[in-house]
Amino acid sequence: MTSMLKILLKNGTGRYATRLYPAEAREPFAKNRADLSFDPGCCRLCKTCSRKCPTGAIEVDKENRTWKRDVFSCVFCGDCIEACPKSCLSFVARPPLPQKHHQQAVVYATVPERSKK
Amino acid sequence: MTVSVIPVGPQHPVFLEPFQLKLVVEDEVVSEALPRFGYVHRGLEALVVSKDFRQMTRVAERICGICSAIHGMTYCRAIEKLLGITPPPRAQMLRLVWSELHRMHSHLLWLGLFAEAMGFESLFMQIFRIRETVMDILEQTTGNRVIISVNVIGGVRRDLDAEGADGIRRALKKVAGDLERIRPVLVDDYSVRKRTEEKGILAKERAYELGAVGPVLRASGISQDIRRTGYGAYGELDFEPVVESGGDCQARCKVRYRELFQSMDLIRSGLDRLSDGEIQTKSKEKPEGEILVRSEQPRGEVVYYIRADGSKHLQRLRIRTPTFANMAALMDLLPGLDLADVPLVTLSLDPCIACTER
Repeated sequence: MTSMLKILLKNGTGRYATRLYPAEAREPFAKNRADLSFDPGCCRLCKTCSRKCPTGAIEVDKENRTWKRDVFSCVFCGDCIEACPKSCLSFVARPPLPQKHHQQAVVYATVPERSKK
Repeated sequence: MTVSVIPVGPQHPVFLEPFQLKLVVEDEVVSEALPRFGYVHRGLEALVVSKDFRQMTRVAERICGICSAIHGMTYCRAIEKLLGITPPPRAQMLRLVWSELHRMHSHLLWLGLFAEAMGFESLFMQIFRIRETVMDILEQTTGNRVIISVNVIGGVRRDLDAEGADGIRRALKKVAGDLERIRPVLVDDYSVRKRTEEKGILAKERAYELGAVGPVLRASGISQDIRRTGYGAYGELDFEPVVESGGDCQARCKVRYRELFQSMDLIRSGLDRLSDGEIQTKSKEKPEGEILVRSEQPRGEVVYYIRADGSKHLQRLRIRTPTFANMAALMDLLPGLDLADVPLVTLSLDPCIACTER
């Protein structure tokens, strides 16, 4: 009994184990997989990311030149990042803010037209 | 004498996952127990026919949150054997480090829940505080807290730099100190001993006959650990399975507590022996043939059976999880127990229903 009492006394006099979030927030770790960023500028619409995605969260439309990701389906495994031949995808360490509307849970990007060489 | 049938679960404060025990009770003493499963069946094994074998790695990781790294690793090992490739030594050692970190966080979670099942809330909080350090290491080195998604077919996805390795060593030192501090509470405390000693005794012979696995088997005095077969990088490291002889709840608690220190030793020696080089062996082949692979999970032996026909989809995936193997032992333990001890004894086997039902 005394051994637990010692631990409790130490906890009572030591610093807090928790933070007063959101007033005091911890910096995210550098390698955190909190969000996925997509750079439409370098995308060639090759659909590799969409084929590799285990949950089918990514949809690529070649005709309309759009790239779409369903945030709720994405499991942040990173298969698309490894597969992308142009390295357009990367993880973002900071988690995104909560969304107000459900529609915003889908990330759309229009890939710009490229001049033919 | 009044005989009544009491359903425990599927929603019960002690069982965190839905599974039901129908207890036939004669005046507060259990005379028969019948388990009922199927509440969280997700049909993950059947997904092999619709998902690519590489995508299935992500599914295998999600069979269970607590031992996801080991599920992923076992699946990858099976496919690697079918493909005839060997991951580089660095990748194998990194897999070992992350698997052992997973074992640590699983055992800490169990210790916390065990304390909570006894009604010892402050000890539960204390253990979860220690667990948070391990979770932070996982997040720092892999990017995720629970489902770390580092295993890929042919190796691992993330590398560990010298700074990360030092961070792990520093954090483990802190964890070891914190664990030493709670040792007297778990082992010597009067009320904890009253609640756990000589409760749910599984004799050595009975444990062997019923095919118990993992810490439950080791707590009954049988020295068996699949890691000793030397899969992955475990063959390079020297260790002995943690064995206790009591066979009761206290022995199972001690085995898991001591395994935490064993895991820390394995991680430290793994980090010391980390060789330089590649972390992935690439292969464009498709798996073909049949394979059976075993690994040691925090709860015991997990068996993966895979049959493939050379296409991108596997034909069959079958998993036998440690909780299922321990269920026969649980059904043997419950008759004769007081009703008040049933939740604690059931929890002492560390049931993982998500694994069992897949």
